[in-house]
Amino acid sequence: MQKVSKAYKESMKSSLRERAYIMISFGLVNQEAQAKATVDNGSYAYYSNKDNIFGEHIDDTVYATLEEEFTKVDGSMFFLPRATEGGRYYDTGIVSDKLVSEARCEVVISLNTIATDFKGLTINFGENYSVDFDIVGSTGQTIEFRGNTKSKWSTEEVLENTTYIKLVFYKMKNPQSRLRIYSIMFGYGLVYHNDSVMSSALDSYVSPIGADVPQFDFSVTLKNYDHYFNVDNPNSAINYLETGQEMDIMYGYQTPGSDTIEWIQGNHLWCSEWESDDNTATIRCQDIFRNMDGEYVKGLYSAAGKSYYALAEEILKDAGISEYYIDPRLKKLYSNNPIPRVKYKEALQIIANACRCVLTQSRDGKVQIKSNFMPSASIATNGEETYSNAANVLTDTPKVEYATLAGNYTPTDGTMFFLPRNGKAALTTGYVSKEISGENGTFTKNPIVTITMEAIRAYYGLKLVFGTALPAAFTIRTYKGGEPVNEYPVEKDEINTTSIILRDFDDFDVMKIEFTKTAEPYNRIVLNYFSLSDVVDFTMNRRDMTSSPKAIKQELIKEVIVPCYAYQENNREENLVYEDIDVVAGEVETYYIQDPSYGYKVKLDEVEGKASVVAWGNYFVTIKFNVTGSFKLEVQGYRYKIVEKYATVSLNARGKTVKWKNPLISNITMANELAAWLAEYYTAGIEYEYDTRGNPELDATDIVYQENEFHDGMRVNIYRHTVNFKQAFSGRVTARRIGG
Amino acid sequence: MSWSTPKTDWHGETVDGVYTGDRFNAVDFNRIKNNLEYLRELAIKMYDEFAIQSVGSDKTVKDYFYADEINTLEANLVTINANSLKRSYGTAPTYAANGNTMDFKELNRLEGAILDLYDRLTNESEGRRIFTWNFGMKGGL
Repeated sequence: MQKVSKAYKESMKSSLRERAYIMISFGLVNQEAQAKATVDNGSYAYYSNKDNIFGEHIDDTVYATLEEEFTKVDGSMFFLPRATEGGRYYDTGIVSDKLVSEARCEVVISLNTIATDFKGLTINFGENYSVDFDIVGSTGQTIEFRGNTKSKWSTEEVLENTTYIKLVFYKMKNPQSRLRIYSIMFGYGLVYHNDSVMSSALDSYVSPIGADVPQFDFSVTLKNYDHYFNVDNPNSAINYLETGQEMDIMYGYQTPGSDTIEWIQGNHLWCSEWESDDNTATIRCQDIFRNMDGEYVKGLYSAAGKSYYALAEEILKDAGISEYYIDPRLKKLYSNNPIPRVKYKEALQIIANACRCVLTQSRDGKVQIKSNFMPSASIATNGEETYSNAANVLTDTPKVEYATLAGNYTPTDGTMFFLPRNGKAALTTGYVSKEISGENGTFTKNPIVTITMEAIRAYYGLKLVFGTALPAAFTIRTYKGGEPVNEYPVEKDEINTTSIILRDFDDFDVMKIEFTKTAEPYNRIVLNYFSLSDVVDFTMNRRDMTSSPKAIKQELIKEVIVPCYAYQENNREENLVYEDIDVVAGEVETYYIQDPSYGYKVKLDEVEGKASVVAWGNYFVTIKFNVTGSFKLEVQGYRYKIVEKYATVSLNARGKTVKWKNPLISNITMANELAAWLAEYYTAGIEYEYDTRGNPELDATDIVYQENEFHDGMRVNIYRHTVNFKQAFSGRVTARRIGG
Repeated sequence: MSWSTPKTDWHGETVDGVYTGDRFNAVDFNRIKNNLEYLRELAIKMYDEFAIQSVGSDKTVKDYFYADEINTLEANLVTINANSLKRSYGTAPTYAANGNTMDFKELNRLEGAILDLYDRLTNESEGRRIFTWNFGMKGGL
């Protein structure tokens, strides 16, 4: 689930929604700058609006003035209200207060990001454009532009390491006129908004168990009444498109009571095809995996084992992909087996599946391999009592408390226990801090509980069960690879014996809970249970559905079998390649082999030495020929013998047996874990399909609550999600129930 | 106030999406304003005294113009006409802030009326002088 504001969440659930928006951009547009940039205050006209030039903006609403050769007499311009009237003004973008001929005009744009490089800038000046101007970065880098002749001006220049850009205008087309800026785009390309988009559909499919390669498809239908997109029109935007052109999709929603639009990145996809007629133009885009159809042939058996992380990196490098995210947990998981001869995307799918991960594409277009299970956790503290057992906090078993003389701690109902004289707990206790709070409930040294997760992933909530003594305040901090991620202070009003803390925790592997105050003075922190929730803070209820959910009972699964493959050497040498060839000395040729093999030997006319192996893997051998002529080529080698062992999880007495063949599984521990993970998925066996009001913040892979007449608190895993836009959102969800 | 020849050939076409018509500049605003003041001065030489509304001093390219000012110019034309020749020059729209500006037809109507009033009032004024009667100058008649 994408991060959205509380106001967004509440409004999307209300019976009447606010206006929805879409922004589609082709080319190089820095979406982050586009979303975060703001224009600083400056010397602007009283009716100027500097707050909306980075979004949807047209240049056909213009106030008439007496500037040189400016006001048209076709009735298309508007009378300007007097400043004293205090009424509303049309949004006509930025208008300088003074004529540019009178005083040079400066527009400063804060990017509101860390210092960044960005390429390209596009400014819509309207018909009275600036002729001479400079762009200045925060480092002092100045790019001069002279003699501009375009209303919609753009550049591909790079502004380096800057936190703001300053635009300095010296001369306008009509010298005695004001500067006007209707819109600014950080980058160059084409951007389409609600007024151009007739309809669009974004379909996302991600298998939670890696059964298929993920698919993201987007199609948009644009208005083409002016034949702008006609293929035969030399000025058509269609001519700008190329297969593989990047496209960004942003969904917007106007939160109630606010003039601002909350934007969510819909996805970052690649154009695949387009078509147009006299009324419409349709453009289709697809995900990064569709372009990963090349075959990976470099699989190589490793007796010592190679980490799945390294294997994934090799594939991505071979596929030419440099930006990706792989869960660091994969650095500690090893396979001996060679990656089979499959497409790049399938090789990644096999790796993700072997490691109980989901292969997907992030909304900014990066390949991701992320853990998709509740990882095991370990706990540490900065000091606990002798009778404390912090490790027990991770198990949901009943805990006892030993009576102490802490302030108002020990009840007189006989529910607590006497502490043995040796101070050791004979009964099951949770975490009891060493530190005791003072008179005002604060600590000299704050107790800290550190939970370290086996894998990095995001969570959406936290459950804490405290003992008799309650804290009055604590702070939750999360870290990913040692780097801080989120920090949430929790106050007294949210703290109960059983506290459910709903927050969006981005990907992390370490959580620290620092207790800063107790509700009663002179008390310890007593924490009996801790758990994280992977269920997003979203309930798909009947009001969100626009069709009756269709429940589909899946075929009953009897058992899940995961084979574990052990590669053994073979003492039988055989001819792997055998053919007549005509070669020239120095020629290099690669031969691909069907079964994993090794120990290659090359013979020409049954004689060794006339050719040599210059590179090889279990599925290929590259040969350099030392002679010229016609020969009989023989490549001899050994095929691996593959021995299987099975990890089996039984689910039902009857039903289908799922044999899950993952050729990379080379140890039985991983086979058992994979079998258990798959068994959990197959346990439910019920899927739901329904239309919705459309929620662009939801991802395929999200686990949400779904209203159900017979199952309270039913959780489902969304694996196919469609977001339609037709001036309003609508959608479709396919989800699988979690649990029995 | 001096007289400037009104512009009566305003046009506002758009060709292939590009506006090729005239533009309304400060000089045009000032001309209309000042011509109306000239007409009033001309009219009160021959008709009863009347007043028109002031639209202020001349504007420059730095200044803005507002709907009420154009309404005032139109109203001044009506006042001058009503207090002099009482011709028919059509009805002017009432302009409002945030409303569309006048188009070339309205400008042609306004400046055409100003020119017509000017011609007629000038004729009238000059005609009175031409037909001055001097009885008995020839003697014997």
